[in-house]
Formats: sequence, C-alpha cells, structure tokens
Amino acid sequence: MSENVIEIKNLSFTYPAGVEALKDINLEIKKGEIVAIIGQNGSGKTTLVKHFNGLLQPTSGTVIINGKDAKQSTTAQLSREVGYVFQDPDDQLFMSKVKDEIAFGPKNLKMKKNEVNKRVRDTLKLVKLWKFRNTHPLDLNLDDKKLIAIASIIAMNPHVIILDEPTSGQDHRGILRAESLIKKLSKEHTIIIISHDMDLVSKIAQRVIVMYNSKILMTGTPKEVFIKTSLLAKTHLKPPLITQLSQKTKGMRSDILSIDEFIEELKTKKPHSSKSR
Amino acid sequence: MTKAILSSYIKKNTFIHKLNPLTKLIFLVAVIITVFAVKSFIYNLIIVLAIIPLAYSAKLLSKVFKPLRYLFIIFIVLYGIQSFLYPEKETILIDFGYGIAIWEEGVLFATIISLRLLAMIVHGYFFVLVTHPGDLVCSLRKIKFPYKFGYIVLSTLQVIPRVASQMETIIDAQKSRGLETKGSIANRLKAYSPLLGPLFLGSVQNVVERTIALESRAFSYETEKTSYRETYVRKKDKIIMASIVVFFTLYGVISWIL
Repeated sequence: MSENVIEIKNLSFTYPAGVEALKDINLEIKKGEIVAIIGQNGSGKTTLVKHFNGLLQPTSGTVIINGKDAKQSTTAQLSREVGYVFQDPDDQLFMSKVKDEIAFGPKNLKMKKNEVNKRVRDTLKLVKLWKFRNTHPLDLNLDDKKLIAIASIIAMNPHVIILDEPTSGQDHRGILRAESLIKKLSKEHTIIIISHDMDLVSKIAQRVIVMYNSKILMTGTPKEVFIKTSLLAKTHLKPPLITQLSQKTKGMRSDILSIDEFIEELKTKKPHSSKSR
Repeated sequence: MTKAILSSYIKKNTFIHKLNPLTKLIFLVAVIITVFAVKSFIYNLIIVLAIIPLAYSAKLLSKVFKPLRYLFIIFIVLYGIQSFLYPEKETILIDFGYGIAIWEEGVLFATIISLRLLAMIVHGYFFVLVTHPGDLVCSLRKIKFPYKFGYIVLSTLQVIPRVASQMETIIDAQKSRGLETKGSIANRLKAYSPLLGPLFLGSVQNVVERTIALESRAFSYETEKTSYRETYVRKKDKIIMASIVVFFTLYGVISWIL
C-alpha cells in the first residue's frame, strides 16, 4: 500500500459571492499516481485543485497534504510540496528572461545561488528550451510558454505537480511534447492534470476523476470510466474518438483506448464467412 | 469557477435601484462638489456618514465599505506626511525635539483631505453598486452624450473588477511558486510590485483586442444606434433631482455662514 499524498474529507466550498462550487468531496490521491480530473467548465475542477496548495481554504471539511492539515500552512509553504501550473502562462510569467523566470521559484524557497543555477540549467535542458534561456518569456510562442510555465514549477521540485489544461490551445507537436514531459515527470512525481483532452487523459492517466455539478460523479481507470457512456453523456463528456468508434462497431470491445489496441482487437476477429466459396 | 464580471453592480429591488441613473449621477456630482466647497470638516463628515442610511435603504450596507481596506495605506501616508510637514504650521501637538513635531494644522488638513477622499470613494462606489452600467449609458445617450463617450463610461466601470480578478489570478500563480505575500506591509509591497508589470501589459493588450472585437461588430459605423435597454426620467426622478440641487446648495451656503 502506497501512502496518500492528498487526503480530502467531506470538503465543501462556497465562494464569497454565494456560489457553492464543491459539495462534500471525498478523495485520496496516492504517492506516484497520475490522476486526471475531467468535467465541464464550471463543474468545480479548478476550485478543487486550488485546495491542494492552499489557494482556497475549505468552507467545511479537511484537506490533508502529506499528513498535514493544509490550513496550517500558507500557499508559499505548500509550494515546496505541491506545485500548481496555471492554465494561462501569461498569468504566471513575469520576468524579463526565461532563466530568471525559472529561478524565481527556487529563490523563493531560499536555495543557495549555485543550487538555483543548477536547477535552472537542469530544468531547461529537461524541457529542451535551454537555448531560450536569455529570451523574454512573452516572446516565445504559446507551446513554449506553456512549457516554461511547467518548467518554472519543476525547478522547485515539488512532489505533487498539478497541471491545469497542459495541452489547451497547442498544436499537435506541442501536445506530444507536453505528453512526453508528463510521462517523464510521472516517474518521480505525483501528477494531477485537469484536461478536456480525452486522448491525453486516456493515454497517461492511471485514474480519472469525473466532476459534475460540484461533486465527484465517478472515479476509476480510463477504461472503467470511458465505458460508462450514458453517465458521461450527462456531463457532456465523450470518450476518445477511437473508443467511440469501437463502442459503435459490432463485436468490438467497448473499452478500447488506442488505435493500436483497436487493430490488435481487429486481428483477433475472423473474416466474414460470406467471402469464402 | 470564475463568473463573468459585468461591473460591481448588485441587483436589488429597492427604491434607489429603481431611480433613473441620471438622478443618482447628479447626487454623486453634488456630493463631490460639496465636499470640496464646504469649509469645515464636520460638514464633510456628515456627508460621509450619510452613506449609512442610503446604503441601508438599498440593502447594501455590508458591501459599500469594501473599498476602504485599500485606502488604509493612503491614509497612513497622508497623515504621516501632512502631520509633520504641512507648510503653514503654527501649533505644536506633540514635540519630539530636534525640530521634529506633529503640527495641529497638518493633522487638520490631513483629516479634511481624507474625508473628501472617503466621501468620493464611498459615494462613488455606492453609485456603481446601485446603477446598472447599461442603464447609465442608455440614459447618458438620451441626454445627447456621444455613443463613444457612453462606451468609455461603460468600459471604465467594467475594467476595475476585471483588473482586480486578473490581479488575483496573477498573485495566486506567484503564491504557487513560493512567493510569500503575508507579513508586514513592506513585505507585501515588495512581493506585489513586480507583478504590476504583467498586469499593466495585460491590460494594454486587452484594450487592443477589445478594439478589434468592437470594430468587427461595427462599433464606429455612422448611424443612429438603438439600445437594448430603456430608461425613463419619471416624475419622482425630476422631484429628487431638484431637491438634490436645492439641498446641496443650501448645505454649502450654511457651511459658510455658520
């Protein structure tokens, strides 16, 4: 049994304006897990993850991070353990050079100068953007900006990394890059992603949490979640296209998540007898 | 999740909410002129306090003092500078020796300025709370204000809440990167100041995008424009407008005579 890094009990949250954004959430996230949170806009995904690093405090219920009540620490203190990459990199990036941007987090954690420099170099090499170290972050294209935003969190080396929409607005190459980076990171970190990109979710998530109307509607492996099409339809979510195709094809399994899997399944089927003489 | 912010307007069904925006605007303008015209600070204090019954009748008493927490620093600076350095100093209140002292005239001056500021901000904010921006623009256009001027008013009202929520996101993002924003005022200033750059740049960029969005919907096309919202100047509005003018004129005159 691996231990829980995040434990949430009976969490409810109401915004000051009176909007009840989370209702009685119970959730445990284990060390090393890759969890995807999906759901419509406004279903409470972002509100939920903002509790993981203390940006929001529960109206009722408890949030335990690494065995400690999140109430007792500030967001800045929690940032050692939980890193949160915002959806829009423009909200996050504000330094005039990429390398300063990456150094900002480690410096806040009061690291020594050569340690900061080492982190900057290692992180930028990991995301393959070392060549842009002296560029202004806002001069980069969106794909690179998103990577820099992720890198600025990686450099702080938090155990948990939350990624809000890591692939939104990106081209195919950008999506593939983000995907392989997340896979690399998942070897040493617990990853939580919020995404509308069902392909990404089905490829990388070990567990999917579906949110609907401020509550957790269901949770399970991608295969378990994507076969429950009627429940998903309630939240206007659809499984990846290849899964939909296999679900609508006679004789195919309904929990196929990738093209390779689809082809493998096809090979096991016998050709139709009508062609034989 | 975030909700769309139109302006600070809060919808309620009260007498003040139902008044024509122009009536409320005249009240606001009268308040601002009066706080500068009257002589003693007691009269300014009365005008500031008048917000309490007004806000109570509009069911907004808990909301109307919200902007004051941002003014705190301004008041400290104002009193700090004026108490020590007001040029026409005569009476010493507290003497620290070495030529450093708090002067009565300086404290009085700081008080008058603070009350003027308070009156403008509290009443101005109250105006925004009870006036639908669309109605305001519509009624301004009815008294022949240009269409573009209407838009300037509208976008100004919208820009403050939008910038505030943008600021909140930016600060949240930096807190998530270990920026400590709690502690002394000096610490906070140090933490927040580098964030103003992206906020300002973001706002400018926003304006450019808005311009394109507006032009693509024929904003500056020369024609008589219709309005989705409709406002009327009713009899009660006329009576109240006249009373406001009479009352504040008398108020100013009395403050000079007594």
